Amino acid sequence: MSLAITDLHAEIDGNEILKGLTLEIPKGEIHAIMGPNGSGKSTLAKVLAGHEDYQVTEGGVLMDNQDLLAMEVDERSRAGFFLAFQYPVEIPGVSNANFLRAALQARMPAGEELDAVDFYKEMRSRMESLGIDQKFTGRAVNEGFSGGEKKRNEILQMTMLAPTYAVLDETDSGLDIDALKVVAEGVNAMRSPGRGFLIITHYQRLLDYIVPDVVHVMADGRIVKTGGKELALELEEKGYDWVREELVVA
Amino acid sequence: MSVTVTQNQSIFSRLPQADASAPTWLTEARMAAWERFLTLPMPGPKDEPWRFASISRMQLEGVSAAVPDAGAVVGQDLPAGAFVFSNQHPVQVPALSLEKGVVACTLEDAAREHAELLRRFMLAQEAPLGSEKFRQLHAANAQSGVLVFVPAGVTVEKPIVVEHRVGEGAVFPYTLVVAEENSQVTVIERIVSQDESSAGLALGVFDLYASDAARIHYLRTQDLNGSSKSIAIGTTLAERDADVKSLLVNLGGAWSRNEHVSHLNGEGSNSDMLSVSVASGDQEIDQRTFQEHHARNTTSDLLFKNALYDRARSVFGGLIRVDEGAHQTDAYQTCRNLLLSDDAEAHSMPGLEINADQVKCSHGSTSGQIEEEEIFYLRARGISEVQARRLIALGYILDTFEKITDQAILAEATAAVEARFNDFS
Amino acid sequence: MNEESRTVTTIAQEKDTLGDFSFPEHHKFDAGYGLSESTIDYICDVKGEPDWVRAFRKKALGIFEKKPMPTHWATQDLENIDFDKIRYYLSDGEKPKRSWDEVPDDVKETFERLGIPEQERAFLAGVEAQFDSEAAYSNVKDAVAEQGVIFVNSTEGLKEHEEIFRPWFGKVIPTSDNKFSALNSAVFSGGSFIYVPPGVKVAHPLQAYFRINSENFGQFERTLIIVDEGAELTYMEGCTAPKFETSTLHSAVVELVAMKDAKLQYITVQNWSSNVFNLVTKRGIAHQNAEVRWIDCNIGSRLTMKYPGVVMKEPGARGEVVSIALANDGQHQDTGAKMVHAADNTTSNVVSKSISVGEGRATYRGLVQIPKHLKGCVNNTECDALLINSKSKTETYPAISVKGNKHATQHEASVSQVSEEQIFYMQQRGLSEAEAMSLSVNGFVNDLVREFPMEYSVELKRLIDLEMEGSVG
Repeated sequence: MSLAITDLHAEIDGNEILKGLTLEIPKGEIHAIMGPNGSGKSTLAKVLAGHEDYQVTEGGVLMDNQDLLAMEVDERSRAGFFLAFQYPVEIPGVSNANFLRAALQARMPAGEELDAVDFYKEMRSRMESLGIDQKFTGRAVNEGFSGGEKKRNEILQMTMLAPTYAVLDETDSGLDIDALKVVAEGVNAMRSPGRGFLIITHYQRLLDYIVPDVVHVMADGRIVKTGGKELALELEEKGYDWVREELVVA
Repeated sequence: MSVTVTQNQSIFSRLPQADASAPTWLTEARMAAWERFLTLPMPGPKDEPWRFASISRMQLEGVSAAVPDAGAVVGQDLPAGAFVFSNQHPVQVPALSLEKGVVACTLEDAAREHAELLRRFMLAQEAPLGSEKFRQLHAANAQSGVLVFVPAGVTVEKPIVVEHRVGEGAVFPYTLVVAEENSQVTVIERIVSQDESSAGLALGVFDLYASDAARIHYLRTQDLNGSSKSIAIGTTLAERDADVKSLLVNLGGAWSRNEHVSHLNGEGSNSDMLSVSVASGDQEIDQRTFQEHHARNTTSDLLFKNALYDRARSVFGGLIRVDEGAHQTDAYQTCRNLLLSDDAEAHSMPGLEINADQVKCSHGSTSGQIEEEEIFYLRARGISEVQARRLIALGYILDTFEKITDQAILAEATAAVEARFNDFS
Repeated sequence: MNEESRTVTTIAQEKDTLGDFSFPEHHKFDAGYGLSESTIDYICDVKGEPDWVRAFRKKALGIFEKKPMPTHWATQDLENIDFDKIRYYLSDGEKPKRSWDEVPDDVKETFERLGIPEQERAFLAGVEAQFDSEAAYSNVKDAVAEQGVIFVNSTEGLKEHEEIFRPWFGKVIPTSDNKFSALNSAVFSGGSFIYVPPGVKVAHPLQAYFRINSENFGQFERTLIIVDEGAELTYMEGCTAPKFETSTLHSAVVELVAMKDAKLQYITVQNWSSNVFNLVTKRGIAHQNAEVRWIDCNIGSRLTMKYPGVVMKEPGARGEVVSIALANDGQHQDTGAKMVHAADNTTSNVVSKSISVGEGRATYRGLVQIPKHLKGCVNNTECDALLINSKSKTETYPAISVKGNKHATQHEASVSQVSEEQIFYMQQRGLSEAEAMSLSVNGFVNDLVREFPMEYSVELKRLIDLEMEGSVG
C-alpha cells in the first residue's frame, strides 16, 4: 500500500511545471522532497490535492490503488489525503471549531451525527499538545493568525482528520525554532505503520526534528536524486548547485 | 446667423453667440446643443440626482452671459506662463516651450485645428449625474478654455496652468486633456473671481482622456467670491493601464455643484478622485460622483473631505458601479465631514452597485466634530482655542493630500487651502 | 353563488419554481376583486367595525389612489402589480382547503429538511386552516393576561380597547407615509394588538407563530404594539418555512410604541414564495431612554421592500435594526433602515448583511437624519454584502443627513465574495463544494443569526444550506 506517483506531467496556463515526476511513498514511511525555488515542489502538492488551476497532461497517482486524480478535491480528502498548505487562506466568519466539526461530519456515514462532546474534548487536548491557545476554537479559520499560528493550525487539522497520506508543503517556512519543534512533534506523534508522509521543504532544518526515511531532490519538475536522510545534510552543506552540477556531469 | 443679440439676456433664453471666427461645424453643433438644452427638463427636487440639493438657490434663469472685457484685468498681475481668460476673453496666451508634438492651445484655436477632438469629447460626452441640461447649455456657449494634447510616449515636465477670471454674468470654461499612449501631463485649472463682489456664474466642463498607460494629474481649484456660483461637470476616461488622478478644491462661491464621472474603460486602469471643500457662511457645496468600472482589474479610489463652518451645507452623492464582467475590480469611496458649527449640515449618499465577481469594494461616510480633548491638548501647549480649532480643521483637510504625488499640484492645493483657513484665525 | 364563482384560480405564475403554485380556494366571505369604497364598506360590515374605522379606511383609500408608485427611486417592477386583480379581503371564517396530496413533493421535502414540526407543515402548506396550536396561544394569552398584558388581534384591539388603541393607531406610520401604508390603512385585516402595562417585563417572547390563523398570515395585516413605561417585550413573527402564497401582494403595517424606559424587540423571519410582492412599512417610536430593536430576516419573494425605522423622540432613546437578507434567482430584496434622531443623546445602530445567490439582487437603502440644534446623537451603520455567483447583484444606497457639530455618524459598507481559494481549502479538508459554501455563508451571517432565538437560528442555518445547494457546481 502506498501513494504512488508515476511519470506525472502537469501544467498551468500552458506552462509545464511537472515534467515526468515519479515517486512512491509506502505506508509507514516519511519522505522528504527538497529542491530549489521554482523546481515545482508546491505545484506537486497542489496537483495531488486537485487544484483546478493545474492540468495533469500525463501520468497518474494511485493512493492505495485508488486513482487519486479521478477524484474531486473533497473526495480525495475523505479518502485519506491531507495537504498542509504553504499559505493557508483566511476564512472570515467560520470558526475553527465549526470548520473542523464540518470536516469530521463530512467523513461520517449518512445519518450519523458527530458527538459534539467527544469532538470538543479531543480538539481541546490536541490543541493543548500543540500549544494552541483554547480561545482559537472560536476564532475564524486563520483570520488574523500569525504565520506560526497558521502552520500550527494546519497540524491541528491534520491530527484531527487523521489522514492516511499527508503532504506538508513548506510547513517549516517562516517558523521560529520553538514553533518548528511543536510542528515536528505533531508529525512525529502521528508517525505510524498505517500512514505515509511527504514533507516538502527548502531547508534541511525541519529534517533535524522529523527524521525522514527517504530524501528526494527535485529540480525542473522531476526527481533528480534520491537517497537516505544523509542526503539532506549533504544538500545543506553543498547547496543546490551541487545537484545541478552533478546532473550536468551525468 | 441673422440674429440680433442682446448682451444682458438670460442664458436660458439667449441664442448661443455666433462667433465670427468659429468654423461652421462648430456653430451648427452649438445650435444643436442649444436645441437639446431647450428640450431637456430643469432638475427638480424629486429627481434622485438632485436629492438634498438646494435647487431654489441655483437661480440660473436670471443669469446673463458675461461680457468679454479685457479691460477688467488691465493693470493686474498675470501669472507667468498661464493661460488667463477674463470673462471668456483670452487676456494671456503664454508662449510655452513644450515637448515635441505637445499641444496647449485655446479653445478657439482647437476649433480650427483639432475639430475631431472637440467633437469626440466636448460635444459627445454626457453628464449622467443630473446636469445633462447644463452640459448642453455649456456646449452651446463654450468659447473659452484650453485643449491639452500629449502625443504617445511624451512626458510634459511642467504643469499647464489655466486661470479663468469671472466677473458679472456667466462664463463657460472648458478644459480638455488628451494624453496618448504612455504619455504624462499635469494640468492645473483655477476658477476665481475678478473682484470681491461681482455675481458670476462659472458653468465649466472638464474632460480628461488617458489612452493606454497614460498618466494625467489634474487639479481644479474653485475660489470664487461669495456672490458667485459654480457648476463643474467632469469626465475621466481611462483606457488600458491608464492612471488619472484628480483633485477638486472647493473654497468659494455661494453655491457650487460638481459632477465627476470616471469611466474605467481599459483593463488595469485606475482613477483617483480626491476633493476637499472648506465652506462657511451660507455656502453650499454639492458634489456627485460616479466610478464606473467597465473592465476587469480596474481600480478607483475616491476620498472627499469637507470642513463646514457657520451655516455651510455639503451634499455628497456617490456611486460605484461595477459592470457585469468587470471582475477583480477594487473600488473605494469615502466621504468625511467635519462639522464646525451647530448650524452646519452634511448630507451623504455613498452608493454601490456591484454586478461582478471577485470584487473588492467598500464605501464609508462619517460626520464628526473636533474632539474637545484635542483642543485641550493644543491649548495645554500654549495655542489659543481659535488657533487650535483652525489647526485641527486644516490638518483634517490637508490629510487628504497624502496620496498626491504631483509636487506642483500638492504645492498649489496646499497653499490655496491654507489661505482659505486664514479666514478662521 | 355557484361553484365557479367561489373558486379562485388566480395569479399569473412567473416561473414554476419552488413555492410558486396555486390551489383552488373557497372562501365564505369574499370582497371580490379590485378596490373601491364598496370593498371597504364590505370589510367594515363583515368585521362589524365602528364608524371611525370606516372613515379612517375611506380616507386612506383616497390617499392610496392619489399617491404615485415610488418608481422614481424604487424598482420599475412595482408597475407589474395589478391592483384590479387582487382580492382585498378574505375572511377568517373560511380557510382555503387543499389536500396534503396536492402539495408538491419538493415542498414536502423542504419542510422535512428544515425540520418543521409535523403538525405545522399542513398549515404552512395551506392544507389546514387552523394550526393546531390554538391551545398554546390561549395558554400564552392567559399567562400574560395575569400581568395585565393585552394580546389580541387588531380587530379585537380596535373594538375592545379603543381607548389605548386609537391614540397611537396610524400615529407612528401616518396613512400618507407611502402608497402601501395607505393601501394597508384602507383594507387592513389581521395582525396583533399588544399592550404591556407599566413596569411589566414579559419573560418569554410572544409569538405570532403560536397563534397562526389566516388573519395573522393575511395579506394586509396591521400590528400595533404599545409597551408602557419601564415595561419590556419581545415579539416574534414568521418562520423559516417557505410560505406558499397564492396572493401576490402582501403589504403589512407594523407600529411600535416604546414609552419611557421601555424596551421593545420585534423579530421577523419571513420566507416568501417567489411570486410575492412583499411591501411592508414598519416603524417604532422610542420615548425617553426607551429602546426599539428590529431584528429582521428576509428570504424569498419576488420583491421585498422593507425599511424598518425608529423615531427617537425623546432624549436617551435608542434604535437598532439588525437585518439579514437572502436573494436567490428571480428575487429582489430591497431592504434597509430608517433612523430619525429627534432628541438629544439618541443612539442608533444598523447592521445589515445581504447574500445574493444566482441571479438574486439585494439592495440596501438607509436613511439617517440628525436635524438641527440637537446634541450627542450617534449613528453607526454597517452593511455588508456577499455575492455568491458571478450574476449576483448588490446595491447600497444610504443617505445620511447631519446638522450641527455635536454628533457622530459613521457608515461603512463592503462587498465580498467567497473566494475560490477558500473553497479549495475547505474541500481539501473533505467538505463538498456546497458544504464549503454553506459554511462560509453561515459564517458571514453568524453574528447576526445569534440575535434570533435558538429555534429560529437553527432553522436559518438549515435554510441557508438549502439555498446554497443550487448555487455551486
